[in-house]
Amino acid sequence: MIAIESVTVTYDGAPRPVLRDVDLYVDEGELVVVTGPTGAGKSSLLGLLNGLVPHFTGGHLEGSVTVAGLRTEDHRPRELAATVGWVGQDPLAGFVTDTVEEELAYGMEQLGVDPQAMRRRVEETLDLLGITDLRARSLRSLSGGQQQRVAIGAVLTMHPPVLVLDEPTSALDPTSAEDVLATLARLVHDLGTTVVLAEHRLERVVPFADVLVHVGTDGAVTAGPPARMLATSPIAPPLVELGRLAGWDPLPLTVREARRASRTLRKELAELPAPPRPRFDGFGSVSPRGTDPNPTNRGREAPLLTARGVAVRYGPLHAVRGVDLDLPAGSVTALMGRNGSGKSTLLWALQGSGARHGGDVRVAGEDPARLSRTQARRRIGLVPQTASDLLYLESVTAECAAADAEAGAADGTCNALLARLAGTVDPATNPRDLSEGQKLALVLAVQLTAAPRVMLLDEPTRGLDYAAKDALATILRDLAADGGAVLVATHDVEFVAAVADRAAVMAEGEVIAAGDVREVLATSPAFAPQVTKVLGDPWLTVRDVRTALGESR
Amino acid sequence: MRMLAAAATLVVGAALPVLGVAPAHAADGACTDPTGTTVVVDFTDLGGKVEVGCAEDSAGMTGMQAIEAAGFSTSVVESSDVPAVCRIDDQPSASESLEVDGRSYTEKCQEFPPGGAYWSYYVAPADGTWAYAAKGADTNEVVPGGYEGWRFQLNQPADAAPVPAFDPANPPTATDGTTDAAEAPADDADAGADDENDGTSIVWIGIGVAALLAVAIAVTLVRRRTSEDV
Amino acid sequence: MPARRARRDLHPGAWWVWALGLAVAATRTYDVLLLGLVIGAASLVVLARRPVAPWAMSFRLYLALGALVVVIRVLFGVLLGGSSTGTVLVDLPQVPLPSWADGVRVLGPITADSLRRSFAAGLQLAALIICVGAANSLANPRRLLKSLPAALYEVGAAVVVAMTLFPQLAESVGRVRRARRLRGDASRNVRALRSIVIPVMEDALDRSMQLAASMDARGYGRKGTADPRARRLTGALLVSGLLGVCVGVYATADLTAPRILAAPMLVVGFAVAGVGFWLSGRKVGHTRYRPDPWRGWEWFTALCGVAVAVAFFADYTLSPVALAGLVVATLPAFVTPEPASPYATLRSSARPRTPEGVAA
Repeated sequence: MIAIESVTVTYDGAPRPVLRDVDLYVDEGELVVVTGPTGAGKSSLLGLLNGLVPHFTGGHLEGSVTVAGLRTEDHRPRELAATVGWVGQDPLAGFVTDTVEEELAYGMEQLGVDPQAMRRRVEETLDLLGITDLRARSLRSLSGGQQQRVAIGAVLTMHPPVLVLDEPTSALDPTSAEDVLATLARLVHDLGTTVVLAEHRLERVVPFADVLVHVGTDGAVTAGPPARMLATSPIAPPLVELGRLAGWDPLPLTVREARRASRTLRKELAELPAPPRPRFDGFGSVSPRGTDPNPTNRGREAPLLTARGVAVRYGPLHAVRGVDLDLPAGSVTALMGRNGSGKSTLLWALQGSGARHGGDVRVAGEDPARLSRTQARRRIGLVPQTASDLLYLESVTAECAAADAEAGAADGTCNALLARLAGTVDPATNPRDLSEGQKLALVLAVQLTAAPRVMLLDEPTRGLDYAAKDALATILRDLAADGGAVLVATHDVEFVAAVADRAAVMAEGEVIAAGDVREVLATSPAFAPQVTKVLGDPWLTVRDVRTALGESR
Repeated sequence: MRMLAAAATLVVGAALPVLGVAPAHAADGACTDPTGTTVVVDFTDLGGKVEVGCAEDSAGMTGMQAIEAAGFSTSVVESSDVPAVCRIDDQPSASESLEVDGRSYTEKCQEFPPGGAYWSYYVAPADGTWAYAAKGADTNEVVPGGYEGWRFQLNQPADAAPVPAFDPANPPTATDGTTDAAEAPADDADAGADDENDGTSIVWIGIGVAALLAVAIAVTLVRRRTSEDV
Repeated sequence: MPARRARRDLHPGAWWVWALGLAVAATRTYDVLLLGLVIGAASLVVLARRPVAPWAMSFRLYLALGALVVVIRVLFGVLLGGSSTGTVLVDLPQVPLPSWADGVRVLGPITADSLRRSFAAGLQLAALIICVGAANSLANPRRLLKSLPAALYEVGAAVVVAMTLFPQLAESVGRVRRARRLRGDASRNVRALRSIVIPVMEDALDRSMQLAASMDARGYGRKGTADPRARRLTGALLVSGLLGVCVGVYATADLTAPRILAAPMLVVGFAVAGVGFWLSGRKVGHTRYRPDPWRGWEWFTALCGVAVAVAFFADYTLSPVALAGLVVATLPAFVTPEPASPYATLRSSARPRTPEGVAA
């Protein structure tokens, strides 16, 4: 179905090719997962399939790409629209019309399908994706998962034999992501569509994949069945790492396989003591509304941030209702919940830069909302969801210089922080040319220049690969170790397992579950990390298992 | 509720036209006293005569005040902030069709009159000659003992428009103007009264329609609010 | 009456014809009561027939804009429109001007008549604005663009995309301004502007590229099946037809031009352009999904608009004819089918969005 032969792609002005000498063959009806470090060229590989590379993006293409018998060299993307359905990274940015029904019909209108057939196909697609009751809804009012399904439906109506998706689940919470992936699996199995998708969080997709493609930073591409690829790949989901650690052969790709293989390991671990969470031991509290804070609080250092009854309202919508929160010094707290539950709103209200209509927040004895913005950020900093909103200068040095001036810190503070967070970054690069991980590090450095003791992060893991997430986890743990408090809003369960001491779950603006991270994650099927699903409570990450085994052996 | 306020404003606004009622015509010949200004209105191009009136004690009067004091009624263009005369003594009337540049034209007094059918304004000192006025009638100060001239120019060339048929150097005797003027007031008064009666009744009908509209708007608002609560 | 019970959205063109008819009627008169009735009629129809949708909620803005226009016009009237005759309401002192500006009166006695005239002029402008606003609130602008002749499809698509841009830009600016507060930067000087403009422009550029890629990948811009010769012919027809229309419009306005160039040229120009549109539309390769039908109710609504314009052409003063025309203009509020908006689902989507979007 897809044949990529000796393809090398070089963009204008780039020193090296982004894809080098790629040979890839995909059969009909296969689900292909493309993975690789951030900035490696996954999007370029996907763009090859419908001709966006090079017709839309520019650049130089050597070799040939043939999809369903058509060569992308001879056909522009618009001519391949009926053959390859392409869904970009941000579905909302790709919507052309107002409502769901019109969006589904848009592609067919361009192809000149006759009106009766259009009606029929729209109905079929609505049924297939389970979005029938959304047909007259405005696109902007849909949730992330619904938008993703509409975007898939919009290309499905053209009945393409190949479907290409760029990071379809990056913005979705675990349940919505499961929905979308299940839909894709059904398309593959029921309709025989060939699906190619790029994904960072392998733990979700590996069970479904037929072929795993790895794109390296040097542009080299390797492909093969997942079990073989993951045995040696540097990027691997926790299950596979656990398998490698325990020496299981063949490597388990699903939780079911892992549970079967893990009987002996579980017996071994049952005799070991539960891993101590070296962070702290049960003081301070993150309590749902109505519960008293832990009485052993007294006598220890007071929490760095205390919030009681925080409420935020947007017109008639109560985004946050009466949330109580304590952030003890030296801890990392994770705030979880589905999209729309109020996490971002809560973070902004806590920092003081967002609206707060009720309740009390104290950081170092003062309410950050009443301080000037400069003073507030010296006590509590926030890295927003779209980190690049804070960057507006032309080079990294300029940003750092501005950050030093704004925070009143000594010259070079920001640079030192950046070096510590992201290693060497060419100081003359335009911040917008940095990779996602480097951008996040730069924004974090800018915010840390004011040396706040409390740091809030809103969905920092979007677009980061495993290595970058590990680096971020280390940074956050270091911040906590220095005596600060960190609150991270995220729905990446594996990241939470790796970095947090405490966790709170929000829904409909309220905190519905809170406590030690083990309690919160292990007791919920939606939020349990893979290692917990296999080995049970209290094992959260492979590192826990490795430490425990290492100590015992 | 904003709609109701709007409706109320409409009703008040409608009452305003009733306020500006034009005075009745009573021109009565040239001034005998040097403290007044003689106002000459030349209706020849409209098939009428030259009418002469006097604005007594005209010191400090503007041209508009003088022509009204002399007993003529004027109408100004609706769309202009600066008063611009479009009718004198209701001529050319809204029902009169003039032949302008080969096409028929009706003076509706909504916009400025065209170059082929307009009232031109002249001034002349005592014993002098007519000169085109330098300022508009509303800002021009009249000269006591002088003359104010108005002539309707129908299809006259712009650079050679004729002046009013009244020689300020040789004013005709007082009797000529008076006879024409005396007959006019009675008819105009009657006609004016009839127009006013019709005018007010249609205004009341209009106000009635506005009130109905306001009620309909209020009812629709209430109905939409309650149905949206379902 | 089943036809009345069934809710459906009328073709946007019908509402526009109705609104333009009402606007044309408003341009014919300076009578305050009539103009007020025009505004009232437009408001009534909007209130009765606008759907519950985000784009339909902007009528209040148009009313506010109309009120602002009236206030400004009256202020201008007070400034420049002092009159020496008539009932004086306020005797403001006249501002003395240098001799070269002698003919202009600044301030001075404000009479009831001059105030009424400025109010009427302002109200006329306000009525025009409100009629256009009514059309915008009753007819979905996007569906109107979809109804354009096939020849203008690409232009229409570009306009539709541009319309999505502005709310996104507003959202971007809001987000970036909030982010600036995080950096402690509350300054309002020129550098502050730059720190907002650059991220917003970046965001806008990014989104446009993504939108363009998405549209390209879905087949936008496929060439029709016409050959170059046919395309040149239709192009020539279009251009000459539109030129003819221009000449006809000019000749109608300029009374000294020969009459042969006025009405006959208009008709010929429209006909030629129409043929050109039809020909070029035939060869474009795309279809329309569920196009809005133009049925009886559309004719009725359009004719109501035409009727009021005709009535005001016949008699522009406060008269039974004009009043009857206005009553006809309000008929669409009562008899046309109600809009097909599903209140429950659209109301939840019209609820206020959190600043960071749905993902809170």
